[in-house]
Amino acid sequence: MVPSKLSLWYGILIGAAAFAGDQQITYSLVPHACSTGHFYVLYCATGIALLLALSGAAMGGRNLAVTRSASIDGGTRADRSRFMAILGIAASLGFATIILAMAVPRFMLSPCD
Amino acid sequence: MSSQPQREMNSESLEPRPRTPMSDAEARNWLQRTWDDGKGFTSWFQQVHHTVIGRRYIITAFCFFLLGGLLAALMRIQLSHPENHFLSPDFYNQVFTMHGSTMMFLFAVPVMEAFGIYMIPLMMGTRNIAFPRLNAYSWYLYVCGGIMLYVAFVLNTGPDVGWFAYPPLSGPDFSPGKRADFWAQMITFTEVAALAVAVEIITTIFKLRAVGMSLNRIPLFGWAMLIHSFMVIFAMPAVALDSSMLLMDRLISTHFFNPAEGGDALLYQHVFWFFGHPEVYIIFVPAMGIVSEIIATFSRRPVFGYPALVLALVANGFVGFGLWVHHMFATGLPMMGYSFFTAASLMIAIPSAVQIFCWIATLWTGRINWKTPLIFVIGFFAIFVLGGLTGVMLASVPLDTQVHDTYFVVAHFHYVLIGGALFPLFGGIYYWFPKITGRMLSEKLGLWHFWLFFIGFNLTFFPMHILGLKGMPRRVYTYLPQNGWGTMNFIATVGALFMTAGVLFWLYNIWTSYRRGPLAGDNPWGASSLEWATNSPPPIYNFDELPTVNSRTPLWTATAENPVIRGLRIDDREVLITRVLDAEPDHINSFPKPSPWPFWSAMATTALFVGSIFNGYALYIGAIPLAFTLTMWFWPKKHEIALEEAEGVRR
Repeated sequence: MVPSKLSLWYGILIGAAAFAGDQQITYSLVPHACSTGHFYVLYCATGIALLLALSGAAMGGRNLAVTRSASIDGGTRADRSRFMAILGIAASLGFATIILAMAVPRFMLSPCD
Repeated sequence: MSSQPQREMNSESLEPRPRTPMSDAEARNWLQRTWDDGKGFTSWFQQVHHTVIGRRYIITAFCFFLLGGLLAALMRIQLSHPENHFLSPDFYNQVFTMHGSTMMFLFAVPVMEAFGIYMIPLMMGTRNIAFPRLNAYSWYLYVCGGIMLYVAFVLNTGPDVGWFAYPPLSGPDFSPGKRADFWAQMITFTEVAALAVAVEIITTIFKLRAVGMSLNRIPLFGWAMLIHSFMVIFAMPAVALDSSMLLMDRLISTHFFNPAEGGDALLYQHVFWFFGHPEVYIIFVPAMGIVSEIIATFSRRPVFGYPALVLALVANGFVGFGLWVHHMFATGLPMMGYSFFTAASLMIAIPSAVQIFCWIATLWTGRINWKTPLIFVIGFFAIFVLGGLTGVMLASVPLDTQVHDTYFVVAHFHYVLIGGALFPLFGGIYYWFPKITGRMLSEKLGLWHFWLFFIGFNLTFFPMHILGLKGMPRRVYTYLPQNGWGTMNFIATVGALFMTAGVLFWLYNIWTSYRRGPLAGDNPWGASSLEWATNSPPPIYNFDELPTVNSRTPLWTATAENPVIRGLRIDDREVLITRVLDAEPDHINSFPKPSPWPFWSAMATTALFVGSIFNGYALYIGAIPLAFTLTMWFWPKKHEIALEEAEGVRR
């Protein structure tokens, strides 16, 4: 059995998309948060981005399990799928780390300074 | 490609090697006749093959490199001692602007694309690049943009506002005349050319790969060019838009960047650096591909950590877009802005470090063959790691604020760009010169080149860190003796002399080796990728028979029974189109023949672009010849219609 292309691409791309979305959306929400005091929107945006990135890792994990018997440098669809699944897990976890790194200063600095 | 005739193709077209309908020599003659772009003066303007255009791109880019280097030498002479008057202040402003613009827009990006144009179709195992006429058009446009800029410079109208041309300095109030206009229009030229090449390379990698080269078997230079091309597509429109808005502010009195009329000067910086920071990776990522190819070949083993290297390239591609604000830390941002972009700027070091560790592991576990290409890569390690370290330092807001716009930054980005891109590029030239010309470069002269350039580079740019920490601002025309910057500047100028000598050795090596260097043979380094599976230099049809691959290192695992592709006509420019993920045969497509219309379209585009600097009506008037030439370009030719009808009958 071979994972669907959609799930493989989801694993590879969702982490990057979540990172970009978190950076852009949170940055543009700062004026709103500072003027209304609704800082939770910043945490919500980052939380959603983090969950999305981790969902990519989970999807990659699932795809990896499906292609357990394949090799990442072989020429079959299963081999190529396993390679993409590994890329998906690593990319999603990497971008989740970046999202967390960008969120940490928010606990120590006031976004309104 | 889709406008060209297509035929169905399936895996039954893969046949074992022994079986030819005609003799090999006869088939090669047919292929030569079919793919030949012609010779002579008029044919020169019609040629569309990727090896021809790729060679032109490489040569043109290095001509601009030499011009940019000459300008750098002028700057170093001017700064060699305090209160020097070798250049006038106004000319100095033009010189440093031309140097930066040349190196960034006319050399660094085009030269990486140039190697992609030449090598990617060969590495993918196909006969030409996708959209070959667009490829020719892009080269003419690139050349015209560069010539326009240098003609303006020679006429004392060279841009003088720095390579990023911030308003309000570059706006109509502080830069009257046409200098900044020429800069902005040069951006349009080069960006259109770069975008065209990016589209061609993506299509070639996605749709023209050899059968068997599934996504997990693409050579790392292929991955690097793929990421590079996607970055070009997302980044370049930003700077083209920015420079067009600047032009409109200057020429038709819009106020995008004029705060007095509700515009925003910082908007320019945001849009520029949204392009400008990825630009660094646009230059750097293909170089990483070159490094991976060289290290695998000269370690005589497959590269260690292929998935990690691919992932690092992908991560560079994405994270590179999330850092641009660190160029603007000194503009006064909210604390949140600082924290976001500091974090992302620090994190980008991770993928780069992953790559370095993978390469070290490859070298560590391989059987090293010490040749000039590898020595340049080792030089790259040393310099790039130092540049990366100062990059991490500059991601820190307090340090960045302290050294902003000083020579520390100049030192940093030269360590990153020369170390990260030029050293691998020189390695790539020594590596691929035998493939392109059929002759080997001299190892002895190569070593002279390396050591002079390596020592000269460090002599030139390391003192700049100290100059920056001592407060020397970048772009100053001269300085006072009591500043205490004289000694370091003198050392930097001596270093520039060494670098110049290194480049002269390199040019001499190329000149003599091209004329009478030892013959290279098909695969002089014993490399594993498909560009080495054909003659050196490659015939105009690239491969006698389209290859298939059975591993990531196809030439190391090839057997006599490896299937080859049958079913392509040899009396028409047919190529095999494969599927994106698994490179399975999909259909056959007929590629376009030589045409003069890309040249004429580029001329019409040039007239429109240059004319619009002087008169807005040139946009309307210039659109007429451009529409005409484009129409002629895309007008179906008789033989194409006939072929399409014939294929219809066959179906």
